[in-house]
Amino acid sequence: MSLKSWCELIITIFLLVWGANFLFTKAILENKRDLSVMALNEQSNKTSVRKKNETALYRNFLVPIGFPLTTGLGLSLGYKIRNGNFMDVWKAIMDVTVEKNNFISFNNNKRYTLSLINGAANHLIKEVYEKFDVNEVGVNISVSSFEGFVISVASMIYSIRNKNGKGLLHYLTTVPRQRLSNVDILVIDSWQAFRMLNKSEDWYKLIIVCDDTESVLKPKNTELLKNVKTWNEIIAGSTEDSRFEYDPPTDNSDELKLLLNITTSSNETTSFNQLNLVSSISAFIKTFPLNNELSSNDVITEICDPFSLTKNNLQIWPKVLSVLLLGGSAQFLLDKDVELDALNDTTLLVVNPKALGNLSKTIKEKLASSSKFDTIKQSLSTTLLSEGIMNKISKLDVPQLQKIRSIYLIEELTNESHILSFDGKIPKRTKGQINGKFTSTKLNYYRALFGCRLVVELFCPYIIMGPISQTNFYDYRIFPKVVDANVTCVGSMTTALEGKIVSTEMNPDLEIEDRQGMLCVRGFTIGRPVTEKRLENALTLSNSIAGGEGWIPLVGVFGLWGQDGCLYIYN
Amino acid sequence: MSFFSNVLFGSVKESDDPTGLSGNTPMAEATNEPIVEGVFYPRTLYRFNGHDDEKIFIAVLGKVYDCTAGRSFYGPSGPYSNFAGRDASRGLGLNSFDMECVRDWDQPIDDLSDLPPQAVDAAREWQDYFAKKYPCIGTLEPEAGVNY
Repeated sequence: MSLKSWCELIITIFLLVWGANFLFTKAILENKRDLSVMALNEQSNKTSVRKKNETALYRNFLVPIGFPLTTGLGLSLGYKIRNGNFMDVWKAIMDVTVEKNNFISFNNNKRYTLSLINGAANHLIKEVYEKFDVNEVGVNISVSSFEGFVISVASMIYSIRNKNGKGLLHYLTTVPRQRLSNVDILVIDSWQAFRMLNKSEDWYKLIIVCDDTESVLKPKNTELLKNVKTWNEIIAGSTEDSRFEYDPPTDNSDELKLLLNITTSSNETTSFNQLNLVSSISAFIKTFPLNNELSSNDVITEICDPFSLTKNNLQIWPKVLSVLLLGGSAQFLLDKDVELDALNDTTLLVVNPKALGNLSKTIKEKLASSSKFDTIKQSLSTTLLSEGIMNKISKLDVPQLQKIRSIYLIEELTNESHILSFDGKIPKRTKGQINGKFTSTKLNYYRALFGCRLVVELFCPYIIMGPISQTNFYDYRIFPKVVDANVTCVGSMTTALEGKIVSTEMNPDLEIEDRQGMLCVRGFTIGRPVTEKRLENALTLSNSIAGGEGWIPLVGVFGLWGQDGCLYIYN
Repeated sequence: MSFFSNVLFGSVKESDDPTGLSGNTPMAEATNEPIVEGVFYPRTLYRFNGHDDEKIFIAVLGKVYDCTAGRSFYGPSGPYSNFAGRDASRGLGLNSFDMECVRDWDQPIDDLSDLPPQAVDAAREWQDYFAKKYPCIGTLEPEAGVNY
């Protein structure tokens, strides 16, 4: 062949390959994307104006500026719309469970029907709440246990039914070391926890010990046990009951009642009301896009950290109640003993970064395969994901994981003590604002591994019910390395909250013109400080830093708004 | 070539940097920045008439309101489009949409001194209405060398 022919051949091959690539990327990839690039770049609505030392106000793209945020369930009461409360939710759950026969599996790996849970809660109301004059029930056990769930439901029902709001649920992250004046009944985990009461037994009208298997630790002195009952003693005789009646009052007074209080280990108490709960449920249901809605086929599995069980009590409710509301089921597993068979029916998996890492490690160990073909499949899968195309090319061949459709990765803010104290001291930005984060490349690795969506949610454990923000269901972007090295994308605000970033004197390196600074939030899922002093401090802080008007500064949480409308928290 | 080379070499497609941390911010976004609340002059206010800029700001009795949400009323082709980007006090006070009731940006700010008290009261009522419905984003003040 002559030189001219060689040149023609090379040019022809080049044009063919270039043309094929052009057609492939423009015609096929463009049409296969779950979400267009334009939509990914416009994930929030923002105001057109801002104050001098603040950014614009950002909202989820589902809530336009000028429209109300998500407030409750939007139930009808005659011609009026009302937000609803726990009783409405529980009634709907009990109505649907008759047909769907859904269940909750607790961290003891046993399945309980909703009728059994409802029956146990009703029994508890009769045996405890109606016999004792209970102001508040201090619960120092996890909601991921049968006992914790039942007693929470019983308290939530009784405190609404009681005209004076008695029997209020009060989550305690530790056994109280100081007397909480309103707590009349204390629910603790075991005899070991009972020993930690250390002469404070007399503070309570009744102490309920849930796990009495370690009877060796049970005190021999009967004087100490005069106001103590075990869970089995109290629950004996309870039966299944699928009936639950509730007629909302016409004046909506039930919606204004408190839902629960939660006290941290540093003795700071925050209260949450019915609106917080129903807004959070509603916001979660709204996150599911068309054709991927929650349904009765869903089973939500929460993998709980065994070392912070009581810490998560507040955050468990919105997701679990949302799934139960639609006839789905729920289960709780402890991170230390997750077996793959337990995930058999799971469609929605809620995990923290550590648990996700452990789970993928367990699976990889069981499927120790690293053939060249697997590597190519993994590469093709992650490349397609980075183009915005969900695929299951390299999904692990694990039968137990076949039903999973979405993973919720829980990212918790670490500086909660700053946020909760409302002491007005703004710290300098430090590293490690989020517990165990992943880069965008790692997130796509997990999406490819599990063959499902992965949503990152940002939580502020004790002050906001449900997430602050979450990434889009269809967002699989890989960010430049400099972005992953400096910040973590936590998506746009939930539909029940709106956010803005303010500049602070302590952090002059964060430029408000570049949308950098300290995060402030406003909306319907934020709790209220209980003591007068903290409430006053919170108002003062809100006025001095965030301009008042209901804004709560998340002190010490520094981040920036991306041009895409997403919130990025500094690593 | 990028998709196939990414598959072959095990790399991925990186998105644009939305944070600006890499120094590569898309130019199109730079024009979409929010306006800082504060002092407006008739000259700077005029741009926000819903046509030259999609935002619609209207001044009433010295206060500037962001009426972008009321685009169907104040935007181009809307019944009150004359007021967009201008001081609407006289027009609202006299309940008139005529062009004579709004001043151009290079004229002195209307002090309404020739209006009857009823018209000034009507303008105040309109201001209350605007304050309830739209966010107040600043004040309208005369610009030296232009309006006085």
